[in-house]
Amino acid sequence: MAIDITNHKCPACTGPLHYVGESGMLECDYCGSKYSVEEIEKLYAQDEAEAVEGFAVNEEKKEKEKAEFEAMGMEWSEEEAKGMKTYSCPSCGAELICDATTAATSCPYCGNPTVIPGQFTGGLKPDLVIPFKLNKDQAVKALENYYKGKIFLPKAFKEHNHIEEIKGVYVPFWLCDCEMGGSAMYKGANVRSWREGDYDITETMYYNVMREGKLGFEMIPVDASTKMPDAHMDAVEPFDYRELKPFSTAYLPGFLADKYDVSQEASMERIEGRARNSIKSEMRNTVRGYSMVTTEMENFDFENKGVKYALMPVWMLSTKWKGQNFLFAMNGQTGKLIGDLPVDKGKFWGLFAAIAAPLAIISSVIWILL
Amino acid sequence: MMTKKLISILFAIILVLGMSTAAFAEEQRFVFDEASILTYDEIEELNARAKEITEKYGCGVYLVTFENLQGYEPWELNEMVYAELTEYYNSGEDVVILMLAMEERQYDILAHGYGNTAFTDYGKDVMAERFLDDFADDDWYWGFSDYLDTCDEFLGMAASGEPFDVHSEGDSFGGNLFGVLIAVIVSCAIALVVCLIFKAQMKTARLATEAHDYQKQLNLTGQYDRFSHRDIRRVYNPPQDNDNNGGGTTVNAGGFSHKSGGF
Repeated sequence: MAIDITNHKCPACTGPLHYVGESGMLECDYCGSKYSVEEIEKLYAQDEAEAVEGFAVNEEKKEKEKAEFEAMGMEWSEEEAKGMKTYSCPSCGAELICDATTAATSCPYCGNPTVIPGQFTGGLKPDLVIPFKLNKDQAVKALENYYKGKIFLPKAFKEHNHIEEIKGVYVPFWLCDCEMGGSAMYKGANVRSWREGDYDITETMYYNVMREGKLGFEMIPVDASTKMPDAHMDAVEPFDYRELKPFSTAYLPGFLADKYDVSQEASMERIEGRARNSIKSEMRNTVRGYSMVTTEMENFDFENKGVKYALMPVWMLSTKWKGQNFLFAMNGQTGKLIGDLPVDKGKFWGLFAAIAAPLAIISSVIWILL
Repeated sequence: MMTKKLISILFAIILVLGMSTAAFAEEQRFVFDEASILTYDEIEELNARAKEITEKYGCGVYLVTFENLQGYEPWELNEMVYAELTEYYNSGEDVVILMLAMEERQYDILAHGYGNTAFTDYGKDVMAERFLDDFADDDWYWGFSDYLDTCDEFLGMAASGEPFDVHSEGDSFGGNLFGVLIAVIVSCAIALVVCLIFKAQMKTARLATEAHDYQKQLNLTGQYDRFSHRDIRRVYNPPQDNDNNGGGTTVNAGGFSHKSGGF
């Protein structure tokens, strides 16, 4: 079988290289050598080209085998049935079984970071990438800090909680440039009251208000992986786009990466929804000088100005407690960590009682005394 | 014309009270149901309670129903009832009378003598609130029952030297209970809000609904604010009579105090 996977090895000692966010370089754990992304790109250009070619050959070969299997009335293997793919580790020769979308992983046997460049060829090649800036230890520390100040967090969760899995993932995102344009009609009203003799007079002046305009958006992100929960990926935003770089596989060693499996078209609904809500509130904010405003009509059109494909760095941390999984995500660039925590009902109602009881007693006494 | 009317209504009152008296000659009556809205058992039960309250506090407690007002104001008719009661039935001058006219669905509470002390203007307002909800449902017996309960309560307070009035409720057990209840509800609401704010910190994975971090400057290409129309509302709101705020009873030239209205 042709080679369809590459290991980025240290040119000095052949040890595995991995990308280090702090230095922005690929480093060797064994001899400590450091290489810039450009140097590694140059060194591995030939290997990657061969791996891409090998990936295409193997894909073709696998399709052919499948067709032959089917013609012979034989069933597909379990891995193939699940949409999995198999690769051979170039370091130790072990068989790697990966998801169909996996683009970077590590060998479970020798631990060497591996990249499957064939997943990023042609139209599948990301335009941009934000490299990891924060490492695993910082992610663990961030999670510990996240627990602090959470007064409803069960004590046992904090004390006996062990991170089951932590992985740095380059998550595929669509970044959409777009524009919303249109108009909205509002009814504004100003109310004035005064007294004339024994009558209360209320005067209401009504106005028809129209606003028409356009609002541009630059790179609204939406995650393009079904493996990643949308709420987690939305919540780790925003990323600092000033650090976007042209894509290179040299940023991938040491991390996991997936290619997208949610199409641009499928992602547009979420992008358009966010843009629509933003222009609605922006337009509404321009209607000033009224004591009451009601929206009567809104009509906005969405225009897609172009979509870029990017990989964004996210640390995924998962823990298990009382049989339930808790998933946390940390922005691998900014360090923003989010995730849902369990609530100790005893602490919740304890605090409720601690506030309500004294308040009720004090206010009751005041009521009775007055 | 007026004299004829007066004679006819007086005749009606005498007839009502007289018939009732003839029918129950053996004892003094306190419930006169000309409109026939109560059963015999209900009349007997209410009468016994009214008699007990009357004897307990020395203030006559009466219930009278008519089919209609015969063109009189409720308070006028009730004062005629009072006149009949004092003249022919030896009721004494210390009374409270609840009179209902069924066709017009009007009522009047009359107090006289010691009744004016026990049933202040505010007390009569509160009393009316208690029975009007029953009368609105045509639940006559329970409305009268509430009336008698209130008479018992207010006469009892008057007997202790503190008639029920505007300042009484805050000192009463019911008023305190209400205040404590409000205090507890408000305290719980505050505690719940605080707890929910802390709880919200436990859940931070949320779908984004807007894209403010990625938007440019809004470019307004057209806008107008046009006057549409003017709406004027005039609500008659005469200055409030603050006499009641200080409590007490408003008594007319005849020495009566009233509270009238519809049900």
